[in-house]
Amino acid sequence: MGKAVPLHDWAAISCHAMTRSITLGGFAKSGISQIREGWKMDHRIKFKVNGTDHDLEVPARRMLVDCLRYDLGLTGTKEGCSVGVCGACTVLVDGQMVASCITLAVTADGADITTVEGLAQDGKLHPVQQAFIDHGGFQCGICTPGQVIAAKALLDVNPDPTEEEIKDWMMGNLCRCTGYYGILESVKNAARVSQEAGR
Amino acid sequence: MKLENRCLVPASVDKTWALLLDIPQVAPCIPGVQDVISDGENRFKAVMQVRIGPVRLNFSGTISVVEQDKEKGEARFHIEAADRRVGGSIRADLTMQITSISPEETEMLIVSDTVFMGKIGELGQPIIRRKANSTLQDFARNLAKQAQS
Amino acid sequence: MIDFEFHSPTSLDEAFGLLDQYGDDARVMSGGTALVLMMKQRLAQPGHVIGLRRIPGLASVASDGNGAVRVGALCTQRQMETDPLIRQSLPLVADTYRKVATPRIRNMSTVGGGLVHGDPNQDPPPSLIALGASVVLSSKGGERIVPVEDLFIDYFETDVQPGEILTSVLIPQAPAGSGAVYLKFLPRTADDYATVSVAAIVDADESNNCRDVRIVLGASGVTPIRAKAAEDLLRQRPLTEENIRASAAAVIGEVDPLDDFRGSADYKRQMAEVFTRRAVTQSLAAGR
Repeated sequence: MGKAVPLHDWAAISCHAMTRSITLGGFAKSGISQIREGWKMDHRIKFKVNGTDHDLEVPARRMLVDCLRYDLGLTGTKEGCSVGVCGACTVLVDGQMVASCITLAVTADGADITTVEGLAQDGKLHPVQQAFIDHGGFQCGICTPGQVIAAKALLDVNPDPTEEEIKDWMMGNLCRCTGYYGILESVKNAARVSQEAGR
Repeated sequence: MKLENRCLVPASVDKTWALLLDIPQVAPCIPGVQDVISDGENRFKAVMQVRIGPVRLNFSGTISVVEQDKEKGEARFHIEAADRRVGGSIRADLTMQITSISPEETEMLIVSDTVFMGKIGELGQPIIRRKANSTLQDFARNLAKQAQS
Repeated sequence: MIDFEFHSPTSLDEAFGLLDQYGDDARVMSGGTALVLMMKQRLAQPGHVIGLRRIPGLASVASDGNGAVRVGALCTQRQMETDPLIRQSLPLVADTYRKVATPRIRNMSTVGGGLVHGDPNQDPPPSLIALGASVVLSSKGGERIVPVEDLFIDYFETDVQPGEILTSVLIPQAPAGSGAVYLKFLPRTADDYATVSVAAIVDADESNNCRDVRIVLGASGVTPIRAKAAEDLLRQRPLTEENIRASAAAVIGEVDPLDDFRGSADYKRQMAEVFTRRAVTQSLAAGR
């Protein structure tokens, strides 16, 4: 390695961000798994995801993204960088955007979570989803669930954002394919459509 | 990482030399070192607790006296220690050179060459360098206090 | 990540009890962004994590009745950016927190957690120090108040003792009529830490004399650095361009930046001077 990267900073290197992907076995053991005898490893959590109640037991070290993807089978949320920088893992917890890859599942106990699977209503796509399709908001799609969730969160609090406001809000959602213009257009149009529909 | 540190010990060169080679007495002058026990001729086992930034390290390893030349006032030590939990280790070669300044004052020069391996290397050279320097300076200060008593 | 046990105490007393019980093997967690990252890299391996989110009363923002604002340790950084009271009476604070990372990270990380982490590259400390903020460190035995300026001891090391939990921050307002600015030098990505940052508060009288000044630098050493020598060159003196330049030049001798991928120590030193000059100039303009 060239210059040493201080430990707290390597999270900021966005070029690493999109190259990692987690595999099914990844969550189970990270290197040496030292089970300490007699300790309560299973923590019971209850939360709502996309309107459905869940009651399950997880180890304390389970990340929310892994819980959603593997314990609940909701694989719409993606893991990109694993360090909370790229935004691919964005979900809404009690309406707020969070990075589910650095959120312990146990801290979501009692929360109301929205993932990308929960955006469409009665088979009809959310305006943001439709706008991303209509205005070239994605290519490979890996960052898209995070982008769409972030955009929805924005329109929930600011239905008519300026371009600056969109950029400010979405700055934490990285994309390697589109160059961001398509995403910006999609969000602007989603806002316009939602406004017109009076939503 | 190569470092050089100098300090003044308020004792005669003979007393300083004796102290320097009494590892169980001198090793605890390094902040965080404890449980120094003999492990054979010129070899000792010890543990060291140190904190570099947010990381708390628990090293266990050996200190060996590699060479000693009383006439030249030079002694060389080799240290190897590892923290299995964090997954890092260090290997250091220390040369201590003492020269008499006055009957009750001795100058000590510590030249160290340390290799950091594993997780510790990730912390970044500048921080490790600072920590190493401040550790050696604390060592020198503690040694001076020991020599006085 | 190594297995551990997560605790969710519902009162400070319960939290203190847990800290007592598990001692060195326990870490306190509020937002968790810093701690979880370290645990993922196995640089921190507590057997017990004590989460504070269920403890009531630690996330409020209120005026203290004396011109200062008391902020609970569990307030998110996002709250600091958007709260109406903060925006109105502490615009420097709102502006500084707005510059931290991304909105998503600001939703998760907290005021208290950030301060206790002791990262010298963070944005909030220089502004909090410039305003003369102080923290309350609570423990089983009571409370003690520590100025933020004295909180940072070394690289990622703060004065928080074992058994203590940071529960609130008291932030006084900037002097009436003064100008305050936080400049963050971000030559790389917008969500990065600063390469160098400066918080400046300038209180000038009608004849453009400096009544008081605060200059605090971030990302310029192992802790935030209050540039006292630079301040002394301006305090009680005319705020001419010449004096401001001299003051900024003094900063070079007060900072001790680290070489890293954001720049060499030498480069950061020079940028510290440039951004101090800009920060003081802009604060002066903002105050008029």
